[in-house]
Formats: sequence, structure tokens, C-alpha cells
Amino acid sequence: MSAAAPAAPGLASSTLSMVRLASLRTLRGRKLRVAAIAAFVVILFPAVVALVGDDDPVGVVKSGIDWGFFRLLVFLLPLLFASGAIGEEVEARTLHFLAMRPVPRASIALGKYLVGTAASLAILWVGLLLLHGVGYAATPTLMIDQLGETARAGAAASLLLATYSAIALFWGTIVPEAGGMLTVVWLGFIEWFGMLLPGVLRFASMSHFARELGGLERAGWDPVELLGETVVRVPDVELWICATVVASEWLLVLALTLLIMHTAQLRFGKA
Amino acid sequence: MSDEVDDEADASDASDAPAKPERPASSERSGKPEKKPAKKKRAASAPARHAETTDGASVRAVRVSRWYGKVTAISDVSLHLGPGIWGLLGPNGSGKTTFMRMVAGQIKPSTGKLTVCGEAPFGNPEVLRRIGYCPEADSLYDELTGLEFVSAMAELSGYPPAVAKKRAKDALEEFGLADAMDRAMGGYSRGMRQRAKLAQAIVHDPDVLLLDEPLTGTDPTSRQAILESLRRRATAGALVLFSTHVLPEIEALTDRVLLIARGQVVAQGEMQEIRELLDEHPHHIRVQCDRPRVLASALLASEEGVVALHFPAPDLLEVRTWQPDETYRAIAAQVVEKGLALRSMTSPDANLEALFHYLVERANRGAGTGADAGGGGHVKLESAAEKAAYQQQLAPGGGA
Repeated sequence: MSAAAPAAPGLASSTLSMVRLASLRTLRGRKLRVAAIAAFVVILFPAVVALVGDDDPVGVVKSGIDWGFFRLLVFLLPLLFASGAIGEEVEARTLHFLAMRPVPRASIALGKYLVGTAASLAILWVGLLLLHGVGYAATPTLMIDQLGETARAGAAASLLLATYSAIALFWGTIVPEAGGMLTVVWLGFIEWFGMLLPGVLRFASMSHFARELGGLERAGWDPVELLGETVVRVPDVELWICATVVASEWLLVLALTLLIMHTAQLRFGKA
Repeated sequence: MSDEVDDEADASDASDAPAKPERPASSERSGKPEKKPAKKKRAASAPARHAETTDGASVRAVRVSRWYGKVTAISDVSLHLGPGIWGLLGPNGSGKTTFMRMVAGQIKPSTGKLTVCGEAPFGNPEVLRRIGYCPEADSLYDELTGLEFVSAMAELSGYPPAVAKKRAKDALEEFGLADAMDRAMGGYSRGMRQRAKLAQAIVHDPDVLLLDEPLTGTDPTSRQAILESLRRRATAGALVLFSTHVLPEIEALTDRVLLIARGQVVAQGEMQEIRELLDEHPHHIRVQCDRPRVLASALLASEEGVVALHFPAPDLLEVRTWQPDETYRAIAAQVVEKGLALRSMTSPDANLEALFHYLVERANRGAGTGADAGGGGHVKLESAAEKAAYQQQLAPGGGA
């Protein structure tokens, strides 16, 4: 019997198999549609503003990217695709099928992460390009000129999205039954409100660094002026440091998640 | 009687929890299903000291316990299973699924050592590739077709996509899902879902097949196909461990059983040996007639084997006896002699259910938490004096 069985697959091949499985499920599931609707709603408002003939299309598109993507979609999409990647399978009692296979358990989480993040990125980029196209529809010259700016913002948002997806996966793996809630708490307090904090406190939020990378206006209490003087100012940081900080947190959290996945018993006894 | 049995149960130490002695590991060496061993006295169990193997299909537990917080799911279980079909029998909540999950490498034992094919299964791909597991829960990826699901599982077992698809088709056909394999599993019936789960469990031809309540929801035809497949695999040298709380399912498939209750293996061995235990505890006879107290009184006067009487209903008498044949004859004679209107006479001991409850009861007594054998409303009649006194109570105006 076992003589005919193949050798246990390695991390790469098992991750590829997981990607195939997770892709099938994602394409047929409801999450993709929900995310697409969310993205449509997000770009609807700036699109309407642009179409009614705003004098400042650059401002409209930048506001759309800021509010729609950096403050909404990059938080929403990881919640949708990553926070329940493991937890939902534990709750549905389907994770047994995967954990029983002779694959490194990390490949299960990694495959799901890759598919979830890819789906999120696809929606993000389609949305961004739609916003760009609609926003500059009346000014073709600007549409070409501003493409680099939009792409820069998109790249920064993509890095942030990948990081938030890793954070969501982390909480969903470590506490499968409450991954979504813990992700909301973390992203809401540390990341969303963190990007509004004054001074170096803002460095706790990866959103701040990503916004710097994307060339967006600083949000929140910066600068704070007191008696005509700026007393609290978020220090300026080189862009490469911003990218390094976000990428480091992304890879660190992802590695930690895979390690947990590899060793944890994932509430199998109780599920 | 019960003291003797209790002592035997208590005497089985941690490395020797099974009530039956463990068999020699001959089957591991030969790779064939074990033959029935010579009968042995139940109490004479010896600790497992078989050599570890990495070749044959085997499951070995040495003082394995598993708990969740303060709840003990598995307690100090020691056993050794070789190739063949094993039934894991126990009521809901007895620890069957936890034990299965430990063997399947899903969870680790809290204490003790558990090996499958000679190695610890948790997080061990080399062992997991030799295990197939069909979980109890009726959960599948409803958005996938049966073929996609089983193919994906085969791929995750290491087969290239094309081979995985071929194997998946074969596995699904084996369980009668050839016509439904291209349909989304969300539309499958309960029995079809069960068969899809079984197909994923066998798609990589495992040496150790773990099936948690595998026959749930299956119709007689597919049940037969499933049983046939399991028998074939066992004959080829696989170890099939399947759990159930339905006794006839065990009887239909194997004569080797593990009885588990409250997280402990209360008995292990051949079905025939287990059946012999039936003779070691009193039989129950339930008689429905118009005057059960008259019958009870007459039985006490004539029958030495009767050890307890119980009136579950006004027209019902339950007799517990050491000598069932004599008691049946006595009941028949008394019915004729007293002119009783007999409505029915049945024995709850007709299947293994009685044995199971007996062993669970015995385990409970051993744990010091359960009711005694004579509890639950039965009147114990251990001595002639007790019988006489009770007979008096049963007499008209006796006030029992």
C-alpha cells in the first residue's frame, strides 16, 4: 500500500496545491462578490463628484484613494479574506481534511494567505484603475500624467494590504474563534487611530508609513500648532525606511503566523 | 459477582487498561490480519512489550491521556492495534473522537506516548501520508464538486494533478459516486457526503484508516459497498479503526472491538471473547403481563438464579437472573399455573448493548462515580433471607 504512495510533498509543492484549492473556493465563494461590491461603493462617490465636473480632478482622485482605499478598503479586504481563513475552517470542521495531509501545516496557511491577498490586490487594483479612469475621464492629459502617482499610491496600498492580511491571518490562526474581532480591534486601534496620533506615536501604525510611501497628505494631528508654533510634529522619515518598516512587519507577522500554524493544535479537540 | 468483576477492572493497571490481554504482534511481522488467538482468561492481562515497528500498520498507546482544561477526554489508555479491522465502540462523549484525532495526528496527547506505524503522528508528514481519516462531522467544501474535493486531497497527499484526478475518480467510483462526482457537494445527500468523505480518506491508499462514525446516513446499498471496501483494505494489510455507538455496525464489519467509556478502554478483544462476558453478568428478562407481582412472587419461590426484580411499569416485570434458561422455563410454567395473561417476554440482552452498558457500569463503579449494578430501582436479592423478605412484601397486602 504505502510503497505506492508518493513521498510527502514539500513546502513549495504543497503550497501550490493549497493555492489551487483555495483559488477554486474563492472564485466560487461569496466573499469575492462582497469585496467587489464594497470596492464599487468606495469608488462610486469620487466617481460621481468627478463626473459632475469638479474643477480639481487631481484632488478628487487623491481624496478617493485616501478615503476609499487607504482608510477603508485596505482594512476591509483583509478582514474579509484573511481573518477567517483558518478560523472558518476550524469552525466548519473542514480543517481536518487539510491538516490530515502529509504537508507542512505552514503551507495550508501560506496557500490561503496567498490566494486571499491576491484576491484583495486584484480588487484593489481594479478599483484604483477604475477610479483613475473615471476621475480623469474629462482630462485625458491628466490621466496620463497622474498615472505614476496613482500607481505609487497603489503600490503603497498593496504593501499595506499584504501586511494587514498577514495581521488578520495571524489573529485568525492564534484565536480561530475570534480572529475577526481581534483583527478589527488591532487594525482599528493600532492602525486606524494610530495614523492620526501626534509625534512618534504615529510610528506604531503601518498606515502612516504606507501613506508616506504613497505620497498622500498626512492625516490627523500633524502638525499641531500651539500659540503660533508647531510643537508636535510627526518626524519625517526617508521613504526607503518607510518601505522597510512596513515590509519588515509584514514578513515578521507572516513568519510568526506560519510558525504558529505549524505547531498549534488549532482547537481540533474542541471543534 | 460484581465484586469479582470490579476487582478485575481495578486490577488493570495503566499500561494494561484493556480487559483482555493484548495479542502477540505476529500480524505486524506477517503483515496479514491477525488470526483469532486461543481463549485467555480476561483478568490475566500483561503490559504491552512488543517491539516497535515502522513497517506494518500499527497503533500503539502507552498511558495516553488527553484533557481539555479540567475535562478529561482520554484517561491513561494503553493499547496496541495491529492490521485488520477494529471497532471502537462507545457512547457519545466517551472519548472516541478525541482518541481518533490523536491517532490522526490532529492533537497531541497531554501525557503518554502514542505512535502510529512506529512514530508519533502529530505534525509528522511521514506518518500522515500513511493515515487516512474520515472525520465524524458532516462538513465539506460545499462549493466544490466531489471530484475537485477528492482530487485536491490527493494532490495534498503528494500526487501530481493528473494522477490525483485519476485516483480521485477511482475512489469516488469505489463508493458509488461516479454519477455525482461532477456535482457541487452542497447538493449531496447525507449519505453521499459521507461517501465523499470516505473517498478522500482512501484516495492515497493509506495503511491506517481511521473512520469516525463512517456509516452515518448511508443507505443499505452504499453501506454494503463501504463495508466491502473496508474489508478489502484490511485483507490487504491495512489497519482499519472505526468508531461507532451503533453496535450492529461493529458486528457487521469485525469481530475485534475496543470498548471505550469515560475516556478509558473498558474492554478489548475478539467479539467472541467479548460475548463471553455476557455470561459473566446477570441476564435481564422483561415480562409484560396482567399480574407481574404474582409472577415475581412465584419466581422467587421457585428460582434460585434470580438476583433482582424490578417493576418499571404496573404491567411490567424485569427479572435479573444468573440462570436465564431456567428462569425462562420457570416463567412459562408460572404463567400457565397462575393463569396469567402474558403480553410479551423479551430480553434486553439480545445484542451487545447489554454488554456495553454492563462494562460502562463496571467502569463507573471502578471510578467510584456511577451507580452500582443493582441500582436504578432494582431490588438486589443476594441472600435467601432477602429473597424471603421480599417475597413477603410482594404477597397481597405485603406493601411492596
